Order: sequence, then structure tokens, then C-alpha cells
Amino acid sequence: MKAMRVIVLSAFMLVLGASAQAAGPYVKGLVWSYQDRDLVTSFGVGDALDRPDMKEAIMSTRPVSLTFTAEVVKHRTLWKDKVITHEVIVHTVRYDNLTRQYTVETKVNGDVTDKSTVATWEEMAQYMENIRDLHVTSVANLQPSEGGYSLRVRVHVMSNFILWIIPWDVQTPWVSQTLSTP
Amino acid sequence: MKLRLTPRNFMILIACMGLLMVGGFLLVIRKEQEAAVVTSAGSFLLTGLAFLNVLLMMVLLFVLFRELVKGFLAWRRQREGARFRTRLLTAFVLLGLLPSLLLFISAIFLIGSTVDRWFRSPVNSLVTASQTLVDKSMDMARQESYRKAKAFAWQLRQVSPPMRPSLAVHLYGGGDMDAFAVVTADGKVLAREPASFPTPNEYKLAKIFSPQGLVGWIDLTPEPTVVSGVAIDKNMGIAVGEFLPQDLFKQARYISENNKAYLQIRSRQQILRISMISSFLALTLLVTFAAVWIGTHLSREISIPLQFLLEGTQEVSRGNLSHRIDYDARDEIGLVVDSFNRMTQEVETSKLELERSNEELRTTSESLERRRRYIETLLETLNIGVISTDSEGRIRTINSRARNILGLQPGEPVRNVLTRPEWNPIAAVLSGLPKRPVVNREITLSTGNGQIILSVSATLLKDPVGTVFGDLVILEDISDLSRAQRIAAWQEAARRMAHEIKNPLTPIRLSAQRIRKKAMEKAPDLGDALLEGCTTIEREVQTMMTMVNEFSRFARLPEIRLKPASLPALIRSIVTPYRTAAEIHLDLPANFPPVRLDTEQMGRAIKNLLENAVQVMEERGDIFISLREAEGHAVLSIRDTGPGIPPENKSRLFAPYFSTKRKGTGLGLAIVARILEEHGGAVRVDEDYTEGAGFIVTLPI
Repeated sequence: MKAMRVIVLSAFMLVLGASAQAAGPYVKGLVWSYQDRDLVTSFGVGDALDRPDMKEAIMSTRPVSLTFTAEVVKHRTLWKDKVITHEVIVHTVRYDNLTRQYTVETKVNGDVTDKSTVATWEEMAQYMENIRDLHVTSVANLQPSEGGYSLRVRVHVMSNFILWIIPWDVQTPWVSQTLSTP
Repeated sequence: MKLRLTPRNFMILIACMGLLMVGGFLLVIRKEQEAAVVTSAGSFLLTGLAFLNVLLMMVLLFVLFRELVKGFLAWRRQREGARFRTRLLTAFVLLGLLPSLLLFISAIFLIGSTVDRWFRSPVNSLVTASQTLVDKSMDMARQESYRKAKAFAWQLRQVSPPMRPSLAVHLYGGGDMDAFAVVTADGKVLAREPASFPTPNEYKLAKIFSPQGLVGWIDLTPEPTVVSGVAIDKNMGIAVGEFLPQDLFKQARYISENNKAYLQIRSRQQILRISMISSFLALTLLVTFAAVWIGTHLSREISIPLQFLLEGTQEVSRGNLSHRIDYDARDEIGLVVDSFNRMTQEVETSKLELERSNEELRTTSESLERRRRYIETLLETLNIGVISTDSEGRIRTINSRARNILGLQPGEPVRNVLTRPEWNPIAAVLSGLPKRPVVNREITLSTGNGQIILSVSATLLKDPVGTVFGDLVILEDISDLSRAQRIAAWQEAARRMAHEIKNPLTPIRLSAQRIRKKAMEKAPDLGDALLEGCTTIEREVQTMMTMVNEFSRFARLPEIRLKPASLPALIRSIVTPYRTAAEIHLDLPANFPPVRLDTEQMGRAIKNLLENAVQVMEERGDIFISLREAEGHAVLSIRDTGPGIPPENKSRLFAPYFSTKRKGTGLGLAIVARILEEHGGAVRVDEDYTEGAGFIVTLPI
């Protein structure tokens, strides 16, 4: 009886976790192409800035960031996939309650590559939630004869801490697409 | 190896857990720093409090669980003091936990209501209103700027495109605007006043050439400016800037900065609430932990010595008096433990003393029993009767010889011994005891077996301090001895009489033979011989007559009649005739108590002693007579200065017919001894006197 109770409780927790995962942010519009011998990708994130806690955080003038991660991995049999390249792009927004303008910036691997100010939430959201034409890696880093490469992306929305101790990342699951031979 | 959770180990465990918690705290802080720009949860204080709370909860749960398990196991094993200890610990925990929980719950409600009040209060409305005011004023500036931009663009549309830059400069000179820039769609500035007015960037250009235009964009550098722009045509646009008044902008910035701070705080109100609750939770856990810790310590401090005491009392009740409680404390419980140890030690010592006393008593009892049996055997073996009585005269012991002498039947109560009429003489002997320590009598009893002669000796029984606790009566059947003595006395008397009679007979026979011879010879001196012979015969017959009279007198001693008399007066009346034969020295007290005696018999006894003294002194000697009282007796001493008594004769002096004098009958001192015996007194040789013969006469007063 007690074992049955434990099993039912565990199943309930798993279902609850899965449903929570399904209702979270997600990757949208993932496309990739080879341009000038570079692997270029564009993708966005849905259900990120529309979250009430994110909205409240932005409107309280605190800086809020979205972290986009793109990786090219090589599949290996009976072994863990090998990460060929790892790109991290951080979009950060700061709201100015005096001018009611949003200052957004982009950091690629820690370096600020773009910074601008927009006037509306939609413009800010458009900027924040999308990555366009990100050069992930050079095709030189890929071995066409070996094949078996995938592009996978993930967007980290925010970090929560359960009971202020256990880190709990609100992020999308990895979304991957198999790369064809360049 | 068995790992015991001693206080030291427990502290080490706590320290390890604390280190783990600090490590975890640092890791989480690092994570928060990494996610600081994207998270709403970053709070060092909150994280620290959370870790502290978790640590305290773990320690508290561990301590509680440990104590509960220990209490449960002790209860299951029915260990002494477990129930009391568990109850004490529960009381301490509840005492610490209940107020803490009450305070904690109150604090939660108080914090909740206080924080809510903070953000629901007029401050919130004020912030909103002030922000609205700033927004409205900025909107007014925006609208004004946008209106001017549209008006400016309309005016510029009235001229051909090449003329527009110069017209713009001309209109700027009118002073209706603070700054302007005429730009092309590709971002080229055709005219600008002042020169510091920033060139519209790509975003602004896109807005300017959008259908709605650029409405009220605010640039903060180089100076606060509201910029609006519209397209003049599809290739040219105008951007108009309105400088914000410095004081207005300063106030607006001040308000917005404060509102920004307030908004940031409000966005963290949940964190603030939880931080405060966590602080109180930490405080509550600390107090509870302290209560549990102190409760555990105190319950152990109290219950352990109590458990020791309980075990000690059980050990003592099982008879183990050597059990000691090994517990060192300086408080009252320590005093109780010390008292218990002293008590058990004293009890043990007393028990050992008691056992030793019992052993000694048992040994003494066995010794006394052996002695009693020995004495009983001795008494039963003795050929004399022994009777002991208590101070009330009740018989305590009587041996079988006494039973035989007294003719007691088997089973007859011994209390009958002295109550029978025929045994009155024995009772009479005992009646004389209070006056004298020892009474010796010869009595004749008539029993069923005939007459018996008993030598009765009665003595007072005294304890070491002299208290009389009874009488001892010794009965000796001297019937046979007396008979033998009488026979021996008669034999001696016959021998002496034969001898004494033989002595006068020889001169008588010789005188008769001489007279017959003279008569037959008809000797001329017959008359002389006859005269001498008759004289001799007459003298010897007289001697024989004297002897016969003495015998007659010894045989016919009258019965003694005792009555009180003055012994000194009797002595004085007797000694007078003897002053002619000897020098009499009297030492008689003036006041001497009367003595019960027969004056005639006692006078005869004293005369016999004086005559003996006079007869043994060849010349006129001295006679010393003294009288004194000692121990209830009259002690009369008569000493002479004669030759004294040879030692070999001292034991036979008072036997009848013993004499050292040539013509003595040997009855004088025997008569003295008999008279004194009948008076309850005695006569003996004065052994201390060596100048002559001495006699001491004692008489009961």
C-alpha cells in the first residue's frame, strides 16, 4: 500500500514536471543555411517576454536578458555527442521609465556587438526574442565525409531558485536539426 | 569499530554540515551572479538565510530524531528513568517550541500585513501619480515637438526640394524651434541647426519616413531633447528637437529615479517578505534548537543521576551495599548522590558491624551454651545439691542431687521445694542471709527415707557491682559423714576414756598390790603404806570422778536460749576471777550493740578459752581481750603470751578429746566450738598472732 502510494506520487510529479515543461518557453523559427562557407542560423523564442514575471521585471527597470545558445554537435555511436562549436548570444533589455524607451544590446560570447534603443514593447520584443543570421561556425570545422552533425539551439529565459537554494532554469529544451552535407 | 555520537562527534558533524552549507552557499551565489541579469531571484541575504534555515532544520530534525529514537529504544528496553527523561525532554521541547511557533506564526501574519501595507499605502499611489505626472509632461513635450515637426514639414513642402534646407534655416531663425535637421531617406543631413543636434540614426530615420513619423523621441545627450520627425516627401524628412527645460527635466529625472527604485523594490516584495519570514524562521529554529539542546542537556543532567540513584537503590535493595554511584556533580543532585553514597557506606559499615556482632554474639552464645551445659553437667554430676533462687526467692535452678536430697517427685514443681513444712529449717537458713553473706548450718530433716543430716550453705548471689540478685543454697547430705565422725569420736572417746581410766587404775592397782604385800608380810610400815595407798587411790578416783563429770557435762549441754545481751558486760563479769592468775587487758567499746546469745553458755565458752590461756602460761602472763564490730558481727579476740599452738595441732584443736595437757579432757575447745556454732557464730585460731596463742570468736549481731 505504501509502495503504491509512492509510485502514484512519483508519477504525479513526473506528469506535473512534464506539463510544466510543455507550458514553458519554446524555440521557434529555427532555420539554418550555409552562407559563404559559414553555417548561419536564425531562430527565436516564444512565450518568453510575455511571461508576467518577465514583464514585471522589465517594467521595474531591472535589466532582463535572454540567452541564446547554438551548438553544432557530432553524433558518435555508443558515446556522448561531441560539441564542435558553442555560441552564446545574450540579449539584454533595460527599460527607462523616464523616456519610456527600451535599450537593448547583444553580446556574443561576452562581447557587445550591438546596442540600440527602441520606443515600443513590440520592437523590444522583436529584438529580444529573435536571432537572425547567426554565424555558428565555419564549414571548415565540419568534416563532410564523416557526417552526422546536428545544429541544436536553446534559449535560457531566466533562472529561478527553488527555496532560494536549488537553481531552476526557465529555458527551452534543446531543439536540434540534422545538418546536411555542405 | 562502533561510532558513538558523543558531543564532540556531534560538534564535528555540525561543523562538517556547516562547511557543506557554506560551500553550497558559495556555489549558489556564483550561480546567481552568473544569472544576475536574467533572474528575479538573486538575493545573497535570502540565499544565506535559506541555507541557515536548512542547516538548522537538519540539525534540529537530527537531534529530535536521535532523541526520539533513543527514548523509544530506552522505553522498549524498559531502561530505568527513560520515561522520566522522555517526559522531561518533551516538556522542554514544547516549552521552547510552542512560544517560538506562536511568535513565528504571528510574525508571518505581521510581516505579510506590513509588507502589503507598504505597497498598498499612499506611497504606491504617490509613485503612480508622480510617474503619471512625469509621463504627462513628457507626453506634452512629445506632442508639442510632433506638432512643430508636422507644421515645419508642411511649410517646407510649399517650396521645391532644393529650397527646403535654406527655408528650414530661415524658419529656424524665427525661433519657434530649438533644433532641426533636414535629412534624406538615406540618412544624409541637408541642413541642421544647431550643429550639435545629433544626426538621426537608422532607427529614427525609419521612424521619420514611416507613415506615423517619429513621435517624441527623447535624447538625453548632449542635452535632454524631445525629437519628432516626419517625412516631407518620400526622399526628404525633417527632425525637430525641443529642448526640455532643465528644472523640469531635473525634477522628472528625480521622480523617475525614485520611482525606479520603488518599482524595483516592489518587484522584489515577495523576496522581501520571504526574507523577513526566513529571518524569523531562522530565529525560531535557533530558539527551538536551543530549547531542544538545553532540554536534552538538562534532561540528561537530571535523569542520568536519577537513573544512577534508581539503579543504586535497586542494587541496595538487592543487598549489594558495596554499590556506589560514580557521578561527579557540584549541584544539589551531586549532594544527593554524595548523601546516597555516604548512606550506603554507613549502612554497609553498620551491616558489617552487625554481622560481626552477630558472629560474636553467636560465638558468645555458643560459648555460654557450652558453659551452661558444662555447668549443668557439673551440677548434675556433683554429689551435692545446688539450688539458686532469684531476688524474689523463686527457684531458678535445682540439680538432680538436690531433687534427690529433697525428695522431689519427677514433675513436681520446684516452687514446692521451700514451701513444704518439713523444709522450714532450710527456709530458716535462707532467712538469715540478708544479715550475713554466708550461712552454714547442719540441719536434720525428716524425709520419706528417714532422717538425713544436711550441711546447708547459703550464699547471696551478687553481680559485679554488688547488687543481690538471688541466693545460692548448697545441700550436702552429711548423714554418713556425721555418722562416721560420731563413730570416730566415740572411738576416740573410748580410747581416751580407756587411756584416762587406765592411767588412774595403775596407781590404784599398784597401791592395792603394795597394801596387800605389806599386809601379807605384816610389815611394820603397813599403816604408812595403807595410808599412802588410800591417799593415792582416793586421788586417782577423784581424777576419774572429775573426768566423768566433764563427760557428763559435755553430754548434757542444755538447749541454747538466745536473747539480746551486752557482750562487753558479760566479758567483764567473767574475767574478774582470772585477774589473779594473769594480767587481763580489756579493750571493750563503750557502746556495743546487744547480741542475741545465751549468756550462760557463752560465758562457759569464754571461760574455757581463758582457762586454757591461764593453764598454758607457766608463769603469770598477759591476756589481751578486745571486742569490735565488723560486717554485722561481733568479733572477740582473746590472746595470751603463752607458748602458742603448734601448727600441726591447729586443725585438731576443736575436735573432742584432743588435748596437749597431761591431765586435759580434750573437751574444752570442742565445747567452745559447739556453743558458738549453736549461736550461729564461730571460733578459729588467730593466725595473725605469733606472740602466743590467740583465738577469734565471731557472733552475729
